Amino acid sequence: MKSDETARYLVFVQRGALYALDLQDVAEVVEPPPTFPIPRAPAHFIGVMNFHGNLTTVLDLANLQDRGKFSTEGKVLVLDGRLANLAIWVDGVSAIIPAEAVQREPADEDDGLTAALLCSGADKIRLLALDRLLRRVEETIND
Amino acid sequence: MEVKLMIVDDSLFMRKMLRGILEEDGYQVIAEAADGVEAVEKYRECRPDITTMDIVMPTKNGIEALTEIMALDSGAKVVMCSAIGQEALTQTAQAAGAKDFILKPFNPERVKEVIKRIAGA
Amino acid sequence: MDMSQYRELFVSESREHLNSINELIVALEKDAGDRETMDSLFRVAHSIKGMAASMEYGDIAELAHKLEDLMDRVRKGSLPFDGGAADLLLEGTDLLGAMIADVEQGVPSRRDTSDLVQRIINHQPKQSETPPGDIRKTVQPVAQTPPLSLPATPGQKGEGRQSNNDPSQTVRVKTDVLDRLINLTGELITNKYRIMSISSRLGSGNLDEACVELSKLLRGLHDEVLKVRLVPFAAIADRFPRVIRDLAKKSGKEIAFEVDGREIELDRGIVEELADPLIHILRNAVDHGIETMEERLAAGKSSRGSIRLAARREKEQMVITVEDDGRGMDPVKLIASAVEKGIIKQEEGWLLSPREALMLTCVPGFSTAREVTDISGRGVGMDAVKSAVKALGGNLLIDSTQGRGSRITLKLPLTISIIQALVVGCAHLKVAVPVINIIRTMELKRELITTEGKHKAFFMGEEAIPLVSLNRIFGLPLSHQSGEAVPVFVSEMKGRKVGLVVDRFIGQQEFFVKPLGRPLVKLKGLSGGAVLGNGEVLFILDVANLV
Repeated sequence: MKSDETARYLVFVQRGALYALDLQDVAEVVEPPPTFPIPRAPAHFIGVMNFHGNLTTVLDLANLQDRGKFSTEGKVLVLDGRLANLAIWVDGVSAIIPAEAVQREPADEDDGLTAALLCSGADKIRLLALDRLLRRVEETIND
Repeated sequence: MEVKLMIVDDSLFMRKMLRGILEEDGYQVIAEAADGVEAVEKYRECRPDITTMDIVMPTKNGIEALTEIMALDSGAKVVMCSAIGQEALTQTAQAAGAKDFILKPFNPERVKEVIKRIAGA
Repeated sequence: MDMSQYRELFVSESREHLNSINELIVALEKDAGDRETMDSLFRVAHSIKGMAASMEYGDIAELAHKLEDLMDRVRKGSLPFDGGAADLLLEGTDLLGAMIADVEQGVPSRRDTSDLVQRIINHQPKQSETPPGDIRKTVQPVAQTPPLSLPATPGQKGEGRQSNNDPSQTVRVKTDVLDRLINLTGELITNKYRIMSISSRLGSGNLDEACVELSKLLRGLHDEVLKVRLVPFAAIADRFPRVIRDLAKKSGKEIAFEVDGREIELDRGIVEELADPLIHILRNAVDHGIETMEERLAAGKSSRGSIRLAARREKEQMVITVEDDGRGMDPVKLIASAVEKGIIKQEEGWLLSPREALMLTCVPGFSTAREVTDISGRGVGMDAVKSAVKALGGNLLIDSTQGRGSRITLKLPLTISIIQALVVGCAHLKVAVPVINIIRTMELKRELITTEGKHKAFFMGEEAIPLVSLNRIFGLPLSHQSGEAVPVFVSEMKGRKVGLVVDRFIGQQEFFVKPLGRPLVKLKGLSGGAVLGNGEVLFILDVANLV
């Protein structure tokens, strides 16, 4: 629940900017795993990984955002299996912060994937809109 | 001494429910049968102290099974389970040797009371 | 007393009874005097009433009670079993089914039963059918019938519907437990291959031996797990007599429907997915297959059409057929219609064999119906049937003789979760093709390949099979192998045989198919994924939907 006072965010770095996900939407953060090619998948699908027996698609967030290619140094955020069999490859993970440490503001410029801005001092963190991200990813399939 | 019971009913639901009621009072259900034919066979095998007998069943109804069991063992204690509207049948059953009857839907207290009385007899 | 513990049992046992009602009614309509069927119907209503009353579901108990009374009048001869009584019973069955579903979902039932209950109470036989003089005759049996008149068939134990199992030796298992069992078995099989691949690297004789033993045990486990998952074909087939009855009534046709192989057992995962496709095939048979009575008489056939549904097991496959003795299909007309609808080109039409022409009915956008009728105009077409069957890893065949009838054959694997598949390689990619979808594999000699413009083909017997590169379909670089032969597997796409060229055949093994989940499930041409012994993940091809 977004209004839940015990809510926490997972903050990650992507192309020099800060992003966040609701911590409860993330099942695990893992080192880049071995991935296997997916026939006819769009370029932003790096491949599929075996996450505790679940076949999980690994998404190249940088590629999806037209900002180059995933960095081999990055980290992989595996989403909760109830949402999707999807993992997001990001440049790095920065922190886990409690919801009350930030001020939630509406997204300023809309890149279509930001649910809100989380402001903490001078830092502005983009809260990723997972539902929209998933829909966008699905729209690119079979193109 | 532990009282051993057999439950005869074509409905699994009814058998489990009756078993639940009886086991609460410490009775030991040693056999279940789903129709009259099976009831007679099982009776022959395990000789329960008390048998509860449904009336409407496939292959061989409860009254026929009762009649055969009584022929097998004149001291058999069989309690008929009948629904409202089957009063005529319960009379036939009592004439055939049934010791008592319990009415469906089961009232747990009434069931326990009848079985206790028969067990003590 | 806490009755909630019995709720699940109430739901499942009531369902079993309700399912048998449909079948019994149809049987009784065929043979209105059948004592045993009448008694069974009475008993079913009686049992549901008793259970519902125990659970204190007053509405269900009352409705079941009224149905029981109705059947009691029928079996005592005071009410003829006519269409009116059958309709009331069926209506009651449907309403009970809905109420029991409410119980299952824990929703308080607010369904109005009073109208139906009243109609059952007021139900009178049609006067015209029983002249007054005869009424006494039909009432008389009450006196003849002893108070208790259930069929007694001593010594025939096992004939009764539920009596052949010793209740103390059977248990009910929740279906999700069965699903977990098969999943665990699947994971074990995957791990077996993992251990075997390590073992072959180590070259230890002892370990190899243990692996062989492990394989044997797993096969045994797999067989047993499959056995517990089996449900009889009757679980769905028993709904169909009712479906056919309703459809026939609506279309004014007279149809004799027969089911064979009700006892044949299938994996429950498959059975569940088969109901809708089969209903559609049956609908087509009633609506398009069987002619009107006039047409049939004019063609020298009996006025009553026949439809036969049969299930049987053939080696590692389940075969289900639906046969009718109706008008059959005309391949020439099918081709003309497909050309007209722009589904194929005229030149392509000329090349089609009669059998291929029949398969046109399964191409999306094609319907043989001259007009859309209420009966099969709604819902899915044969294309959806075919893709449902394909999704189960099965195959659909159509045979038809004009004027004589049609036969639809479904070939299905015995289980969906664990399949045999051939691993093929295309450039850096490996994919698995379910063996059930492969008609043939071969190393095709290059000189046997004919080229026409951009299209390549080869002959399998008399038949020209177009060749397609799987690399090309996947958008992978074509390998330019210099060998004398190319690996090809023949499969079916859109009702036509196609030779798929790959770079190499890697081997065949069993796979535990894993679902793809969101978002990959949307990707066309893949039906699932699997893990190889070395931990590699590969995809299972859905050949029919590749292009």
